[in-house]
Amino acid sequence: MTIRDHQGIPIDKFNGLWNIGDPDSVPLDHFSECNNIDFVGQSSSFKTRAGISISQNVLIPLSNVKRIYNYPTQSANTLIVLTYDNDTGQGSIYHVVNPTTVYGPLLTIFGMTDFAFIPFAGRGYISPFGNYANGDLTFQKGLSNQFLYVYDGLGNSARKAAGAGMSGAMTVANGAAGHTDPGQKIFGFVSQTVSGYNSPPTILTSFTTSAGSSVSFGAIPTSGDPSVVKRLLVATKSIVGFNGDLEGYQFFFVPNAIINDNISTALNNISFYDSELLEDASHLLENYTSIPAGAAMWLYHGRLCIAATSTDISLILVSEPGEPEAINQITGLIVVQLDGNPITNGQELRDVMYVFKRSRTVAYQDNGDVPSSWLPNSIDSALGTSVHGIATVLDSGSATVDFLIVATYQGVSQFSGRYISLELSWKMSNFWQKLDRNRFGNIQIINAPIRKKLYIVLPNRQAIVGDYNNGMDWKSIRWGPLSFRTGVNTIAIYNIDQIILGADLL
Amino acid sequence: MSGTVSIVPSSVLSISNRGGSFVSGWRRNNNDGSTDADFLIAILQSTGGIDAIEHQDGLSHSESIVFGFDFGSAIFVLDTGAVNFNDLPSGIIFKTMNFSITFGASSGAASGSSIFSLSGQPIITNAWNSGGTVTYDLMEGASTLSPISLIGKQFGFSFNFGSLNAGGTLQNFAKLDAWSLTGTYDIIKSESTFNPIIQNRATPVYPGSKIIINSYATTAGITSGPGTALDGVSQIKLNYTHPIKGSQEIIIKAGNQPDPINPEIIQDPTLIINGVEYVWVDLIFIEEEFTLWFYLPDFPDGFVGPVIVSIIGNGRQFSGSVSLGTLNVLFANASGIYTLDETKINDTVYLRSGFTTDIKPILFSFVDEEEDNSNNFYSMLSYPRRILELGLENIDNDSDREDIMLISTQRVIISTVEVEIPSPFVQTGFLP
Repeated sequence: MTIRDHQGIPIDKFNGLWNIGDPDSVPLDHFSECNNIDFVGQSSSFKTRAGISISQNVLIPLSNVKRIYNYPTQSANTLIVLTYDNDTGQGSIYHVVNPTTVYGPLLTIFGMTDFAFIPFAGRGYISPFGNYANGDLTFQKGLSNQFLYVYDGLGNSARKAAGAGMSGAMTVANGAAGHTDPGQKIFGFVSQTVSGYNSPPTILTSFTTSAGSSVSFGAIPTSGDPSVVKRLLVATKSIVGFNGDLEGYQFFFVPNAIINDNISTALNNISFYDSELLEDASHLLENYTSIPAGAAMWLYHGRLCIAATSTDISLILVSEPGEPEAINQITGLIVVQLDGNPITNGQELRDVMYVFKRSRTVAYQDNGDVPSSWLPNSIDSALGTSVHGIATVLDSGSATVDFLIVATYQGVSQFSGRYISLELSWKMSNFWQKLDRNRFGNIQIINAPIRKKLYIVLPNRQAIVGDYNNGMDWKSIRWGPLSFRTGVNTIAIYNIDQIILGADLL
Repeated sequence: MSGTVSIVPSSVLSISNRGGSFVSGWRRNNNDGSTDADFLIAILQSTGGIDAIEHQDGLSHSESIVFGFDFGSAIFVLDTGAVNFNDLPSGIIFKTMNFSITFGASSGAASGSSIFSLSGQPIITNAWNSGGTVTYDLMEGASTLSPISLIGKQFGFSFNFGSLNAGGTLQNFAKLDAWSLTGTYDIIKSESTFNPIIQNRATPVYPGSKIIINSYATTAGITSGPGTALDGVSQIKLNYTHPIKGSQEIIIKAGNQPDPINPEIIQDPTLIINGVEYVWVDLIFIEEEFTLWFYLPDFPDGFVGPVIVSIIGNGRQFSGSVSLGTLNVLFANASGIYTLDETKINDTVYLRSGFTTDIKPILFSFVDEEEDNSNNFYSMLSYPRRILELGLENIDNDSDREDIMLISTQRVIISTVEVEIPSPFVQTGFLP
């Protein structure tokens, strides 16, 4: 169609928001402004976004939702939700099993405005944290005098992880005819919780065994912790020249010497040779009995990593492989370069552990030795991310596909061991850089690879979607801001591709 | 009425850098311990003054800094004299505003060059031992500029000193001074025949509600047709008085376009000037020629009460501020857990508003449960069966009343409401 001498320009492609540079530079196939649009497949068509519906079907649904995580249990895909009571200042965590079933509150803590969460073997590990100010800068770290908690996934209240050993005294005597290597030994008991955590050896008692006799134990204390389900006997090998230090010798688990309850007070007729003492128990003496809360948690090589505690914002606590509550106070610590900024996030990618601060990225690699021996490798001294700034994929909780999607101050970037240039959000750089950096802790990203969309909750309580049906690169991705009647604060994905939004009160 | 305006340099109280302290390496009067305050003193002084701020390491330096103003002092110098923010004449708007700063570079060596650039400006390359003054037109992309947009915690500048060749017995240095902001202003009266009206203004609204504004012309008090066009509205203001925090103003800016003053500087979301807190919100509002609509934003701290709505013109159809009257904002807790539903074309949100009282009968603890040996439904109940048998309608019986206590419990009424999805707004980059 022509009007006078002007030739009409057909616009048949719509590729999302363009917000960089001057408004006059917006290409014909992009929008200078848009809101609540959704793209249709790989075509250039667009439509109004999908509507939202309420997720819960209960008499009193949860309100003032601050954080939601996907929580895969052994039997179902569920949600773990933090709500906050503005009047009392208390944060409460609930387990939303399905739209009609809610357990909780599992944990209520004053000042808990956010929390880190890691599902492990069906249990959930919870670390409460909050916002703190350093001048004009707002940052996140673990709540003061708070700890790591463990939830069993069955609706019971969350309890403090780890734990101290039992206290009290026991009696040791020769038992019925049996065998031991004669000599002075130190005996003790390790309590084991339902989550598999072994406490440090306690109730240490010295006794000299006889060659032809077994050993019997009486008046064994029970643990005041109801989560203790077993008590394991530990012993040293025969000691020559005992110096009086009950903890100064190496302890071993005694084979076949387990009390499978927290009720019995006797264990009789235990026979063993020193050569049968193979499994070390001394390392338990150096473990945290109360693990401090941190602002970031992740898994690396089956180890639970907690960072940014209340007292050490550049410290990572790393557990033993497969034992998330066993963290050695000496060899399980990694100190990231001290620059006044707290650790915000961490993630495993292709066998390497990447640790993030708000404007720094460092890599560590498991060398087979203790974590304190892992050496740092600086990846980027300008780019990092926030506490929820790494996209989680599907409902696995894992953040990796073959790369990470990371929200930095510069934009939303792909990270494959280095930040890939140009960032995915290049086309909307102005939009991104106008976000309040002091509220980057509110950014949460999910990657829905079946829909081929990234959903990002923003510090201004709106959201944005990045459609990558045409490709995951800065040119092909299509961005579209989303707004809702109520401000949204958190996002999760569960049941493969069901998008869950949480809205709070301003 | 029009005139010239400048900013009083001494009204700049502080500078800050979004990436942390930038002072590292900058020196004033050869003092390695220079602070941000030293930097500020140096760049505000006249050219050629002593104690210029310098960098002497011969390396490139890029900084991005934001100014903080003393709102209690006289910030603006008009033709009539210096005034503070509250004393600015009503309807004042800046028509031009230029930022300038003087830079210099020097070296003990005979060769080399310096490169100074201010964000948004062409790069200037100079030979050694020379400098210049660069001026930045802050009006680029805007026809008017409001005073609050200038002095809010968003004004600053970015600069880059390019690589300076090292050499010679003296270190190379780069310096900055003689910062200034000058321009012209107009004082605009609002259009007296302009009569925009909020649709259904008497109806209470909630955060998220759609507010529709129509523009009508009136003759002798009677609506006579469409009025002044609304597609030149640049901002919407919401003024209210918080019971604790005092006067508040929420400014809804038009969309997400970059700030024309300093696109690289991140805007502080709130600003307090003389006790009034200003909050900027980036929300789309939809402009047709004679109708405009927007969605009421969330109010900080769950404010409930009257809100005065005003629209600000960009000088195209009208200038200045036009008050549209008062809306009564109610509180509705719409927080909760939602799911994206591809089958829905609107949003279903919670509406927690108002209270109701539930009456519940409970059995006094001293009443023994009756033994029931009959094999009926009630014998299988785990709770005292008399409550189920009696029901509320039977409590009038005197003997039953002795055993039953009625308690009332208050709960919030929770319902849901269907709301339209905030409208998509499409504007192509091509302006025919």
